[in-house]
Amino acid sequence: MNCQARRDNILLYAADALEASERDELRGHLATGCPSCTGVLAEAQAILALLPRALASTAPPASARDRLMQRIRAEQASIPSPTPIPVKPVRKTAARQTPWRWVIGASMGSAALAASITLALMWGTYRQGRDVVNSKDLRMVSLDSTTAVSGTHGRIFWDREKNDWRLYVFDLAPPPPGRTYELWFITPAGAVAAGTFDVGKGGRGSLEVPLPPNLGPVAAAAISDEPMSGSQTPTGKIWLQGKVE
Amino acid sequence: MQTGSSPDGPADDYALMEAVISLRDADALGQLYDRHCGLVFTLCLRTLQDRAEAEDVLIEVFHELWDRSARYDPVRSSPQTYLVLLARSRAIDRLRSKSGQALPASDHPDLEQAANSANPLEQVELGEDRARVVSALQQLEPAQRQAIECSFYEGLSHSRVARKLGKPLGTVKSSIRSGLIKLREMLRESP
Repeated sequence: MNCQARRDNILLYAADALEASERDELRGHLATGCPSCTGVLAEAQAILALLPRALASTAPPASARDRLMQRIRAEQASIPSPTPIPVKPVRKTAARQTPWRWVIGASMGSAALAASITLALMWGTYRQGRDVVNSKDLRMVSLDSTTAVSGTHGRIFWDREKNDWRLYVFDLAPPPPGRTYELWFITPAGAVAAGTFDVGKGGRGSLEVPLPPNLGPVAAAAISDEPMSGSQTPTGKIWLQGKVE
Repeated sequence: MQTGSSPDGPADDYALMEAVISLRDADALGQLYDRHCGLVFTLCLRTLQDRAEAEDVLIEVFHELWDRSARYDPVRSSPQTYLVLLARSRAIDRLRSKSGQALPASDHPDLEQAANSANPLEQVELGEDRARVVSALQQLEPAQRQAIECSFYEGLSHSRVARKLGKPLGTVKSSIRSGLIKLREMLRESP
């Protein structure tokens, strides 16, 4: 049976209405990670999930929400604080006077990437970091692509308690040969090197860096491609940038 | 409290899920609850036919969303789809655990009743999403709707659906298959 022929069976499978023999065959096929059939299954599930909308809506009692939230708050209170996060060393450099106003200005004018597919692409990496990104004072910085490449974006979680940044990039193409990516703190005084990182499968990369002491206010963040050894000041193309609110 | 789903909510749903998973933000979970509790509770009530049981499963579903949030994969489904399918699964589990008890009577408004009772004015009032689904269901044959309803909401096997509806097994199988395929084509073509 080919994937086209499996299409209807996938719908029945999603509805738990497939005969056992066919179900086993389909499960085996889905386990191979077939992208076509996985997509068909997602569509079938989305369609089935619409069905309850046809029911006359009934609101639950308000007490249900209270019960849920009390249970969760109680569980949160019983969990010990997370252990400190080991951070990678950061190359500290002197701030250089660099005309970064264009970066900040351009970033302020760019729209935030909030489409669901974008968030979906972020998910895998977020999940890996969810246990450590648990600060009570956390800010997020959105990094938008300076190119027209769809899906390329980044997020920085700024743990204000520990004063460190966790950068995640998605769908970022590999840097040019002999180059690497470098993150920059953009301050009113100029750009300060934060560290270099590589991208792997799916154009994903990450970097954890503490903010250098006496860095001062950070107005924006940017990512450029630089020589493999990194640079003291940006020399390559800016690929991602974002304003720090 | 919002009991339905916000029509402009999908992007916000993802942001809230992101906060639940990445930041363990209980307030975000509360907002997700506010956005979807009505739909989830309605589904649970339809399956279980018991308000107390439906409330328990509602809480169980959102607690599971919190406790095992890493299981959620946004590439595979939207937060709402995930919640609805999780609720259906847990409600059916609860129904089956009450072994030996009679199957619930369908005295709650169901697919067929909703489809038959809806008129154009009601559909506008009910909202676009509901009207779209109701309209699709109206276009199914009654036998198809009944069979799908028994299968989807009560988790009945084909043979049990056949017994409940008093129809031949082959007819039921055919009704479920053709009805689901017809629904898919109608709902996927809708804007």
